[in-house]
Amino acid sequence: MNEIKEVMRKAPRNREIINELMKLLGARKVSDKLTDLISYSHDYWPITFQWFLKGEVPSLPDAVVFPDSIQDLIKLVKFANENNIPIYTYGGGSGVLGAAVPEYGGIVVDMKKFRNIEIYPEDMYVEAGAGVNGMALEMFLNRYGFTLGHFPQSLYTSTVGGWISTKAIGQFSVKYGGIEDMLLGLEAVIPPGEHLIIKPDPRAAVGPDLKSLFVESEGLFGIITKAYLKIWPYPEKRILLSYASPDLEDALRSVRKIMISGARPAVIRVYDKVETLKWFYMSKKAKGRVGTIIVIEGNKDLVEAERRIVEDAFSSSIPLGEEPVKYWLKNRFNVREISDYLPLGIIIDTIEVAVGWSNAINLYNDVINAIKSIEGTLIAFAHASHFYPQGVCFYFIFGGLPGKEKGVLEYYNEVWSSVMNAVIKYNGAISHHHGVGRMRSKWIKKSIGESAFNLIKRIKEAIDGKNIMNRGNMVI
Amino acid sequence: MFKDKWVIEAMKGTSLGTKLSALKRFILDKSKIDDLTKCALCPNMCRFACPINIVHARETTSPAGKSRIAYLLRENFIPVNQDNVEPLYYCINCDACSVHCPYSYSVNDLIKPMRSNILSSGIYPSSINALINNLKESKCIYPELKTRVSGSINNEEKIDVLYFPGCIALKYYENEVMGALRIFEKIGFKASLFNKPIDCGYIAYELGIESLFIEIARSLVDELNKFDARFIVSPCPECVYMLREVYPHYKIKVRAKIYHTLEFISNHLDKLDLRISDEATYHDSTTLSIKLDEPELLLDVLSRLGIKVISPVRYGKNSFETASENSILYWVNKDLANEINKERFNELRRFSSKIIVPSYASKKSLEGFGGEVIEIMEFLLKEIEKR
Ligand SMILES: Cc1cc2nc3c(=O)[nH]c(=O)nc-3n(C[C@H](O)[C@H](O)[C@H](O)COP(=O)(O)OP(=O)(O)OC[C@H]3O[C@@H](n4cnc5c(N)ncnc54)[C@H](O)[C@@H]3O)c2cc1C
Ligand code: SF4
Ligand code: SF4
Repeated sequence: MNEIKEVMRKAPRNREIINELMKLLGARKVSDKLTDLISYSHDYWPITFQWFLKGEVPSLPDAVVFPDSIQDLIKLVKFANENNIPIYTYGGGSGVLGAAVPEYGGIVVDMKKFRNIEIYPEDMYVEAGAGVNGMALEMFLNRYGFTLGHFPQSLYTSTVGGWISTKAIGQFSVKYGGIEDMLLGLEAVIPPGEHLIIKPDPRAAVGPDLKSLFVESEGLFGIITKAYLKIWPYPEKRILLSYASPDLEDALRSVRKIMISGARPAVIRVYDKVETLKWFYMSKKAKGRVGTIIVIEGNKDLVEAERRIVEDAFSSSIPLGEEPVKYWLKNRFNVREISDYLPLGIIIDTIEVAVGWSNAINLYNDVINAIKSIEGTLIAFAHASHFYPQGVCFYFIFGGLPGKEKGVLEYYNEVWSSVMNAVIKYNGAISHHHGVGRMRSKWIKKSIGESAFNLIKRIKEAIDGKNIMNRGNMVI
Repeated sequence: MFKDKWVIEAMKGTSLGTKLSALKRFILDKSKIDDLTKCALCPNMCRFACPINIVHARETTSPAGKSRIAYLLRENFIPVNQDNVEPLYYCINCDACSVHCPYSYSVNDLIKPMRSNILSSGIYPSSINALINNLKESKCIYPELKTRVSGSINNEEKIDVLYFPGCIALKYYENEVMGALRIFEKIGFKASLFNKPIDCGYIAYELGIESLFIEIARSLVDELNKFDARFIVSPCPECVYMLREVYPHYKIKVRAKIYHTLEFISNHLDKLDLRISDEATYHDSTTLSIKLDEPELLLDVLSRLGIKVISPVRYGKNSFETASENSILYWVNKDLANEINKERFNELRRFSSKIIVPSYASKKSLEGFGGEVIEIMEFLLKEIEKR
């Protein structure tokens, strides 16, 4: 019989807390069963699934709790604070950088019991518990004639609390924005055990914007319990367009035109020549070119106006109609890469970054060349899928099969380093929407600068002096 | 056009050695990757549809969570004991996961072999002791279920419809079951009731106790085949699924043609000549909508009757199944089963205080929270009798 091995554990096991927690919350809401400890030892950080196949996990918590009320959380945070026990908040566990890994053991708090949903149709917002599943929320809103407009590829598996904590963004971001654009207010329980309420206002200029503190905070400042998010009427009309442009530069130039015109199609995705072959496989004209798909949706008069702007911006490209867009719409949640390739020893991961227009092409070329030049790389390609008047998000995908002389971890870190360094060189953001977690922490200071990093540390110290919340994350 | 051509393009500029070793792995190993492993590595893309995941709200009992535990057990990374196997029983065998899975997997199907292997070595949650004993001793999920429902049981006579209510209906809904016979008569079919307390073997099958399932199925079919009936009609989607889809795989043959009541009634609805000016919502059973691939049947029948039907959030193939007494979960954790049922009831209740359901199992699960929960045949009979 093999034993479960912990690869990243940084603190000795604490077997005492379970009894205390049972007294505090009741036995039903607490577990230290091996199966639960394993289930909460990881998120969806790809490298850790390579370990999983060998019966290894990043780090087991000492206990898992399943609170269902603010009172539970207040008691829990007070207890953890008094006893200096780390707390790791868990949503859907779809984070891809190890941000939810209980590196120092302690308590994992599963927030999925916070799943109340209430729509305020007149004021056009929804109140959603932090543990509400993304697709459950969208289905609910659709039934009442609304949409959130937030469609991360992890929609089916991630939670509202996780979205805020990682600054998630969806495939329809050009129109609806990222989660930060949807967030009106929130509630949280923060150390040493207080209930914080930031009410939903259309806009408020009443002191610093506290809700922003929680955006991409990865559980460092407290446990988000609910969020108030903007909603939209379910789109009246949808237009699907696609194009083949001679090269990436040309396609990006067209998108830039759209962005600075003020038009906001919901979806714009520009694939490099490699990925174009995947998504435009049905179109001969796309071969050797750069494919773009566009979805325009919303009010029927506005979408017609936006269509004209898009058609004008892409006038020098070949229009390819609705088919590629329909194909993408049908397959966009079809996630199978890790399941298909990891058992073969092929490690697959994605790295999303943001960069200004002026450096976009250089960054793209440097990153692809850098990844391909690393021994062990099998594939590397990219698309751009979130756009701003100022720049673009590139989403790089790589796969590698390192030989015997180089371990998977060494190869993996080498690729990540090369990409992070290239982004820093072009003054880009090392993450556009996945966050920092444990994977990116060593580059955070270099990316945002010493002064900004120190300010985050000071804020963290002020809120959570004992560093119980997500201890070890972002190396703060 | 070859869909995966892009992969060749994506590999351009990478080392030949890497490409060759990848090719070798593809050729030698790709077919060896089993479904359970793939599911264990998935980011839980079907979890939003899984009633257990939504209500229990824990990673361990989420769809991929269960597959991960099954994988670790299978590979001997964790010991086989009652605690470690318990998550494999947190399933209502609804197949909702399969609808959204990129591989169309049902987690229930993936973990069943593990459940079965371990169970045969005598290790299973002690909470299902009673269930297993019942199945072994009385070939039914209930120990005390005796033939109580009276009716015209005459297996000498040639009949059109043998009405096979299933164990939940026999246990709880004696009067309603008898009422259904009147509807068959009304649409011109001579009907008789099958009131022997024999299970269809569904739970034994889902638990993975194959020998017990086969024993139950055979004794049921022996009894059913004694009747000279053209059709067997059942209000229980699980019974229909077993008799029609599963038994043939085991070469257990039922002579009559098998229908769910909705399928049967839908074919003869016009004969009832009913126009009902009512408003109601409805609950779809996933056994009917997914396993038997009839996602719109209940909605269609209700609409054809003229009822103003208000769809809930989750219906058809996206329906949210209840944890009825013929689900494994009910026997493992009744509190959680009740929570799931309450969740579903509350959703339906948002849309109407009248909830029409396609089976007595659903009726039993949704009753007791308030509101009116009415099985479709029972509903029809009431309307007929109003006239
Ligand atoms: C297949 C796949 C596709 C993806 N696609 C996208 C995409 O399109 N866009 C995108 O932005 N991301 C994407 N992601 C990444 C991931 O889904 C997001 O980061 C998501 O927001 C994580 O949510 P979660 O609920 O799973 O959080 P978790 O992984 O559970 O947690 C993430 C972080 O948030 C913290 N946290 C979670 N809940 C709370 C809470 N209530 N209070 C305080 N802290 C909390 C955790 O401690 C952790 O630090 C994808 C991931 C996968 C696996
Ligand atoms: S069969 Fe149903 S209960 Fe079981 S894992 Fe799938 S969706 Fe969940
Ligand atoms: S059933 Fe399919 S979608 Fe669900 S977890 Fe398994 S592989 Fe993923």
